[in-house]
Order: sequence, then C-alpha cells, then structure tokens
Amino acid sequence: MHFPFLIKIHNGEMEKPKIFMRKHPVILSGQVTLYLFLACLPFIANVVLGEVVAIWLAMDVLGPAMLLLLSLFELFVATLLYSAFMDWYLDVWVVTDERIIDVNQHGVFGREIAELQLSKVQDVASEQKGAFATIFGYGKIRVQSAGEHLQFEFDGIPKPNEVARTILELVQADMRFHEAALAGQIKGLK
Amino acid sequence: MIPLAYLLIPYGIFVAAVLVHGFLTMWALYRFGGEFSAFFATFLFWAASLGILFFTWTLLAPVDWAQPLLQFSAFAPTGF
Repeated sequence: MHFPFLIKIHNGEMEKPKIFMRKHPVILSGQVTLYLFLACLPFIANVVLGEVVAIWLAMDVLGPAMLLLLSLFELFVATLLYSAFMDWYLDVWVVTDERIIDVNQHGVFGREIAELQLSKVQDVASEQKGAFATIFGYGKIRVQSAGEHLQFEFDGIPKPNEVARTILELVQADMRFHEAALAGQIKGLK
Repeated sequence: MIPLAYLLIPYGIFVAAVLVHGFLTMWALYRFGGEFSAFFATFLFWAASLGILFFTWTLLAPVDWAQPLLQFSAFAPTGF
C-alpha cells in the first residue's frame, strides 16, 4: 500500500505508519455474497421456469435479445463486484506516530482524506455490537477530539479494543514527546 | 425494416462503458494500492468479463442478424 499522504514532521523526519486498517473482510464478503446471488438469479429463473425459458430462447428475435440482456446483466454485476472491492480496498485508516488519517474512496474519482493530530485526541472508545460483530471480532472506534472534527468514527474495524488501546498508547507517546520538546525549548530559552 | 443487428448498438455501448469503468477502477486500485489482493480481484474481474463476452459470442454465433427486428406494417397495402 502506498502512503502518499504522509508528511514530514519533527526534524524533517517522515511520520511512521503504526496502524493500518481496513474494514473487516466479513463486511466485503457480505456484499460479495449478495452480488453472487444476483449473478445466479437468471440461472435460478431458468431452473424454476424450465421449458418456458427454452421456448423463449428458441424464438428468432426474443432469444438473441434475452441472451444480450443476460450478458449485460452479468457484466453489470461483475462491475458492481469490482467497484465494491475497490471501495473496500481503498477505504483505509492509518494511524501514524503523529496523526490519524481517514481515507474514504467514493467511486473511481471521489477520494476524501481527513486527518486528526494525535495531540488533539481527548478520548478513544471502542464498541462491538451485534452477533456478527462479536463472532467475527469487528466493531466501531470513536476518537473524540478537541478540534473542529469533534468525533472520528471508524466502523467495521477488526479487533477494535486492541486498536483503541494502541491509539491511546500512541497518543500518550506523542504527548510525552511534545512535553519533552517543550521542556527542551524552555530550557534553551533560559 | 429494422434488422436485429440494431440490438447490438446499445449492447456495444454498454460493453464499452463497462470496459472503460473496469480500466478506471484498475487505475484507481494501482494508483493508491497495488498489493496481491488488488491484482487478484482485477484478474477475477477481467476473467469474468471476458468469459461473459466469450459465452455471449459463442451462443449468439448462429443468429441471423439480418432478420427483421421490427416490421412496420403502416405502409403495407392492407394498412390504414
């Protein structure tokens, strides 16, 4: 994965990605199952309707028209599947030693990147609700900040409790770093 | 008389749109990602699309595309 959004921080050093997250694969597999079912619908209809479909397909005009429509439908479902994968794959959350970055992909051309400085984080909460979330171990993380973005929400994150704890540890490490840097500056002034 | 081949025009336009969308999605995936799973999904998409087009081509090969899709009868001697 490329991280084109990383910036230079203290002393010109690049910030380092510490956590890299995508939604749990179960969320993608739910969509994939739905689209695969859609792709199978014409074949299910063929089994259910039986001879009627055979008669339609044997007709001079209706037969080719139906086959073209079926082909279009299957291509459309394949496109939906590929787009769903792209949205899942490119929706990422990266926690570096300086910031939390939320990258949201909207279609092919829409890309939104929001960020939150670790120094502005006030509270991190994790939540696992529902049978699926508990069985597969995914949930929501809420990051409360003091800035303009009052809350950052990451839904469908695998192991939310562990991730929340790691974010808190990074926040504390960042706080210690800034305190030490400030103390150094004050010492330098004296 | 409008031949059956006219049905292939909207079909061709839709197929072209799907292929363009596929290329754009592939471009976005490699621009911002580019790991094995992206390669695998891209391979599956193109394999499925080409498979669908191949089966369509095979099934529609015996069709006589010159036969009439619509036969206007308004100007026929027995018309209005």
